Amino acid sequence: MTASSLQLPLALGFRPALGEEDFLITPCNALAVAWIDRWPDWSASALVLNGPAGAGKSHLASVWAQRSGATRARPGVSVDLDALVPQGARLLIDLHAESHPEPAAEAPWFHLLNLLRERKGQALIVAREPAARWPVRLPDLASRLAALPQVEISPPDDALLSALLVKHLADLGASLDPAVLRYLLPRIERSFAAIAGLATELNQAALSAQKPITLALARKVLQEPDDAGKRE
Amino acid sequence: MRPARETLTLIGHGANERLVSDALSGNRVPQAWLLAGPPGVGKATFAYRMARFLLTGGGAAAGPSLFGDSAPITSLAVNEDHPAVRQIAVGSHPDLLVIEREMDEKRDKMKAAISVDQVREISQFLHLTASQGGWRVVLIDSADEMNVNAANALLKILEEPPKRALLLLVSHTPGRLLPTIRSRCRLLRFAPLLPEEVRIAAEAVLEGEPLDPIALTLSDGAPGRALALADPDTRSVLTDLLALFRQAPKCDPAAVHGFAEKLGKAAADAQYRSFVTQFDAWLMRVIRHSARNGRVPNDLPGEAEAAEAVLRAAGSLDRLIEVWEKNTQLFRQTDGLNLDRKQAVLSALLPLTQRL
Amino acid sequence: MKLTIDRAALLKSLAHVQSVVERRNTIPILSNILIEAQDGDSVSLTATDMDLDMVDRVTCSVSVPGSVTAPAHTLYDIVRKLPDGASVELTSEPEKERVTVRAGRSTFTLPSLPTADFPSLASDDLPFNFTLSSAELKALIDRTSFAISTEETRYYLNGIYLHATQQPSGPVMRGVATDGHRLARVELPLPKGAEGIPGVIMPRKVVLELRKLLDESDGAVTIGLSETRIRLAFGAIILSSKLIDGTFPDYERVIPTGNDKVLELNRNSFAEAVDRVATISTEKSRAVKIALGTNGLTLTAHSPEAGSALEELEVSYTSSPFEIGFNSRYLLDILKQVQGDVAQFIMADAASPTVVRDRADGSAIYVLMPMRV
Repeated sequence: MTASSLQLPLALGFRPALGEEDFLITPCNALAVAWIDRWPDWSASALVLNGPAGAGKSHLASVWAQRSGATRARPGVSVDLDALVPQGARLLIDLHAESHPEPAAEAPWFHLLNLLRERKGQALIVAREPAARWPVRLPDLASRLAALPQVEISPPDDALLSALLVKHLADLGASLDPAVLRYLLPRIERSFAAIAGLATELNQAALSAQKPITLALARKVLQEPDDAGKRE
Repeated sequence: MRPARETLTLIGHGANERLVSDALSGNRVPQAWLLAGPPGVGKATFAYRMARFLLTGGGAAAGPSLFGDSAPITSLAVNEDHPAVRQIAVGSHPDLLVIEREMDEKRDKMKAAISVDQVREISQFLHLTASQGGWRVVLIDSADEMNVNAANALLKILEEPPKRALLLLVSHTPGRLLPTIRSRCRLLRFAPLLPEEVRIAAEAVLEGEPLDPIALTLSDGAPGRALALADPDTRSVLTDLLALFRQAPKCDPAAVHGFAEKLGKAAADAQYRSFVTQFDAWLMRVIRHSARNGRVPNDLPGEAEAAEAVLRAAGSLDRLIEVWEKNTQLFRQTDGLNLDRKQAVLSALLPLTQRL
Repeated sequence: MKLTIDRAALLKSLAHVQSVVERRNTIPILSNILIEAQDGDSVSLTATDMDLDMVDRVTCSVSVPGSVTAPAHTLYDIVRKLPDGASVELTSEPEKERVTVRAGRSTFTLPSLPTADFPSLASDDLPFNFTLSSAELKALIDRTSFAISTEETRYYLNGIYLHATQQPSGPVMRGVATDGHRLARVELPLPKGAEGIPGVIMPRKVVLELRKLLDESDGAVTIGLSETRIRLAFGAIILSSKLIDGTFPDYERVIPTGNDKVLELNRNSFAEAVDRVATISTEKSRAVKIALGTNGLTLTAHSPEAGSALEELEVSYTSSPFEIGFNSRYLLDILKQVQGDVAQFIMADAASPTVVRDRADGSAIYVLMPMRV
């Protein structure tokens, strides 16, 4: 209850902007964007989109779902696959944080890929790891997955890191001064997940202090001494 | 004299009028414009014309509209009886924000730069809706006068301007703006007008009075400059300067000092400003003519003689260009850092009036 | 224009409108008010700072209809100094660009600017129109305005968010404000005509100006609304303003629904105790600590410079014992808005948002983030 007393902030936020115009295209995701743009010309009944957590896979997938009118699907034992895959079906299968399908779901997966082929449907499969590397036990499914076209979003470059930080903060309702961004950029972990975490921390610190995100506040969040970054 | 915010007629710059009309007819209107060209050529007049068009309900269907089938815009002319026209002229339109250098009340002269606080006003203005439900227009006259902090603050606004907001940046020296500011703006280049166009534009402001032919000749295609030179006070600053230059490179040091002393006085703010402009423009003229055909015309009495003397004092045309560039920088620093004006004028004149 | 008006009536009206006029104006016409006397027996005075406009109508006797502008602060100062009971004559001489003020043996001649220079106020009809009672609007403002943020980079929090939504009880109108530390939400039955209104953020400036004026009004307030403008008409006054051009956060998700520790206490005795104990807490943090146990509530504060304080209170609390810290000023702000005797604190833990409400009145709900102490 001394100088160390700290006012905690409310977790104010906005629904994240997931529109097509909100997607940030940079070299590390340009290939994936090109594949999405090329749809329906995929030359296969499914495309696997993979990349690290927070890379924007789900965002890009929802852009595609918007365009194609795809329904979200998840093959499993209790799913009526026949109803799920009508003629010309468009499916979005997003594994989110799950690394690969569970063993019990392997047969339904195999069946689903076959149905897609038969009924001239198409699916976008979103996962962190390429499907060819999933530890699948069913050999037929493994060979099907290995044959699917696959595109990856690679780890972020500088341009994307800064754009992402600005976007994450904008989703939280905060704005970032160019000078503060220049200070932060060489000091942050180069991963999508770290950027989202940093945005949250910066926003919380600013809300707690009821101040803009200043250089001093950024230093505090990174726990650097006060004279760090003076060279900038 | 009628200022830019009151001038309704457009003389010249037809290509820009078409360019802007086309852009406003489209679905995605560029929200930041850089109006670049020499001083006095009509950039601010054109910026006010754009503002007036949008704030009198023009381009209503432009912007991110759902109905892109309206007739294309062909002119930015407005009905001059519209109440907004008058309000824009007196600065009382709620959806127009004009950012200019402010008066420093304590020192009783114009502040040297546009400050970051003034740019913050833009944020505040754009964080509120339009009073009339249409466009909001911000006009920065000129963007060259922003200090570093102001420029950075503006950059942030240019990154993501809100919908239905237009930013107009007037610049005499776009090359000196932050490249990041330039790259975020649609460029509108303003070329010098034909002599006949200068005369018509200037005489419209003089309300029927004929324009002094010498002012027209020296205007270099900029009506604003013609009007300045038609003003006897400004003209005498230039005549005095030429009289001094004619003695180069053997000017009487006392005369040079006296000249600088007069302009350095606190009460001589206006004369100092017009000296800086005339000095810069005249040297530019000497450089241009000498580079083109080696001779400066005798448009003002004794002008050719003064030009020769100055070139002699400088040593060569290249050296004169160097001196000219240095002086532009010197006068900017004098403003920015509030340096002594007498010293600035002396440093500018010495290499041109005396052989060192 | 020529009119005669009672000094007291003119003074009251000038006091209203001149508060909108900024003291320092680089644009001359904005220092002026617009005086318009149409045929009949009233005159309207208009002032604007280009974001906010105020029009006030006063009874007078018009002998020559017309309109004129006059410097607001000077005119106000003159009328203020005229003797009570005086009758004031205002005459314009447009061709000489001046206006004359006469009362008894005093005559003032003030410079005037053309009425065409005066910013035109948006007069077009607004798509939504509805009515609230003055008491309802006052309550809505009082219970939310203390939580309005003044931090300018989060400009979308610099006002009260007004919107309509559907509740199990029926359609409601809500006013919400937050500064990121606390949030206040007031709900009232949706007035007729407000169905489908856009969610708008009413700037702090108009909220404060409106609240001042509502003290003198007890009738109905007619509200006109569009996506870019709000207009409030009550008594003889019309207040109209730009809105904040921003998106209010998805505030519902910071209002906890699963909190299970319920504390009920007497509002007055708690507020007094908080006020007393907070005397000790540091000026900067104003932190007080609440310890809850089977024996009741212990309120403490300490600071390295000022010492420490402790006060015990009887409360109703049956959940497990725990401690939580709050900014005392925030507690007092909220308690001041609780009208009934009993305030309810519904908590989860020392790091999560606490909900505060009036046990007798469900229309307002407050969310308060604790302090880590």
